[in-house]
Amino acid sequence: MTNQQENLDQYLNSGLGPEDASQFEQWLQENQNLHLLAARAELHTDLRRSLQRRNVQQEAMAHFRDLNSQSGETESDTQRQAQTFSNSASTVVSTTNTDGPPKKWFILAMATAAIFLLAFLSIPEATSPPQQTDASSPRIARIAYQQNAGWLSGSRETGDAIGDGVVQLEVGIARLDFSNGATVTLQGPAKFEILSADRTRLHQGVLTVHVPGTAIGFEIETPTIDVVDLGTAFGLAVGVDGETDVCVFEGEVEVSVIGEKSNTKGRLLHAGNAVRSTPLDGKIESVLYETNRFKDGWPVTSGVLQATGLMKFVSPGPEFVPGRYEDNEHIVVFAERQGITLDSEIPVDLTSPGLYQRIHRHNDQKIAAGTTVRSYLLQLDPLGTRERNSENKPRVTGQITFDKPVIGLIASTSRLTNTDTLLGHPDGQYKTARRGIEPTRKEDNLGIKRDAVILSDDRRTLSLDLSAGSAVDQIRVIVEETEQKPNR
Amino acid sequence: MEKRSTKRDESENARREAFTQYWMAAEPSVSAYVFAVISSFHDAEDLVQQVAQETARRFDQYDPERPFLGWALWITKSRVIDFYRQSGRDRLVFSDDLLIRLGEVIASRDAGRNERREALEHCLDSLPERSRKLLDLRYVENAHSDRIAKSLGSTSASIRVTLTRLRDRLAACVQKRLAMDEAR
Repeated sequence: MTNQQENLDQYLNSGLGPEDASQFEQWLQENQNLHLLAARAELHTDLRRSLQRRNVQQEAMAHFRDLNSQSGETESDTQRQAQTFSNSASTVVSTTNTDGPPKKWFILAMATAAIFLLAFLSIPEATSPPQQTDASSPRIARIAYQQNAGWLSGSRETGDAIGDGVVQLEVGIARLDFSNGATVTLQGPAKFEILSADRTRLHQGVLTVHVPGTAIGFEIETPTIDVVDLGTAFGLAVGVDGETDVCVFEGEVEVSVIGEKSNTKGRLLHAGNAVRSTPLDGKIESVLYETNRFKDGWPVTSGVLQATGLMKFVSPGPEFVPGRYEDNEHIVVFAERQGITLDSEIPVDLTSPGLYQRIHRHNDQKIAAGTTVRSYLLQLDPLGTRERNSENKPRVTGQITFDKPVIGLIASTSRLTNTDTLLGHPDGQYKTARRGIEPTRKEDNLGIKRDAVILSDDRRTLSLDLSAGSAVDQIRVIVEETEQKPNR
Repeated sequence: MEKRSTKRDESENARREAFTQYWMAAEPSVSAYVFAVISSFHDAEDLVQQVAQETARRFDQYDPERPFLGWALWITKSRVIDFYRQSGRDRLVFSDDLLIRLGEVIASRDAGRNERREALEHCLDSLPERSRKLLDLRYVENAHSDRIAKSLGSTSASIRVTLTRLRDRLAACVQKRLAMDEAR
């Protein structure tokens, strides 16, 4: 029995090599062994939760004692305060416990789940407790977008100004646009603090950030490290124990262990690098570049609020650029360039809302010089190539919603090629062969359902309904990017 | 911040409250499932967080006639497969069928879940200080046996065996407490 448990513990703690994995899988075919694994995994997760919670409580008690020894309060005051902390953390679950009066320790056990959802809302901070942000603080950012967002402080509207202080997102996604141009998308549950226009702190949760040239030096602290942005995009995840992961999507960031920034030069990370830092360890260690946890927030940071149907926003990172990444099951969406001000007008294939059966080439459609734009590439190529010559071609449908209005679509090979240098991804590898629309197809004359491209009236949503094997391989979408307004 | 109270807000609040209740009840079992298939605490906790987000986002699709835990575990299974695929670990110990069966086993254990967690709290209280310290190193500081061994001047194998024995003791203590409670 113990030998089995040892093997189970070994697996739960470190995983298994390929040979052991095969044997383990065989062993798990027996239902009773699956029960053994479930029981051990349950113990494992409960120990992690319970011991973490006990640790936090001990620290909180010690903290109250420290504070009270400074202010001259009594021991019973300390206990009362600590009790208040425990109770407030457990209010959410108290209604589920109906078997007589709730036992203190049981509530505390359940409180870990509340802490998980409410993101450490009741844990007192060190010497200077963070203030909840309020309207009287000077505006530093505004809520640019929310998706199923639940805020600890109650309802917040899109467009609301955010000053310095703490914002706590219980569930959902919210994007904060800073006056200096930085864009931060929080994934709930997250506790985020704005210290100043270019300095913030992620206490817990997951965020993705894009920092344009106007905001280089934007800084995010976590319980373990400082991250200084050097004009880039990256993801940050802080666990309940303060363990921090940094994943650089584009450009460079500098990371340093908290408190050591002024003494030593930070470590420079480039696109495709990921590091982890554990509290008390004082170290920053390289880890596998893994972006799965950022997949909900990253498109929003990049200006894509929703992508449905077969439309899929590509993962962040240097390998996920046009020419290097293909996906034969989706219409892949690449973010290409941001903040490009056009020196001269550029001809495009389509500019007005409406339903189009082909993205025709119109010679008089242009985007004016001086416009600041952002560009995306929608790629259907692998699917098209695979299905082009088959019968009963399936339909390829998808819809994408941008945060800013679409002011031009380009789908002809020559116009795509002509704009690759200006609007293409800096690391993209664009082919020069046919990419856009082919000449009129025979099918068009045979009553077969034709392609439809719809640009909504507000010009933010683009819907595609194409046959797999459609003439359209790539569409470059150009979105208007308004100039950053100065801080009010 | 000015609070606005509208009908939309109220129904949104009710929805959020309903979700919170369901999630709080299901979360320990979802966690057990994820901890059974992902060995890093950090990755496992991230994944549970992702499942929380996804179940919240898709809560409109949940059919209240069916158990919430089953629905949440179904979503969890997909996220686990994504995790393995995206982290480049193509050799997944768990086949699709095994992941489904594990979900069924975890769901079948849900009935006594809170009682077992409650009993574990008592059992932890009765642990000697040294044992507690060892568990803290593993579960709070997330140190693996080789690092614990270094800091305590022991060997990695010895720490692994000691931790397994400690877990066995705690599991036995939980069973004993539950049996005593039943006998009352």
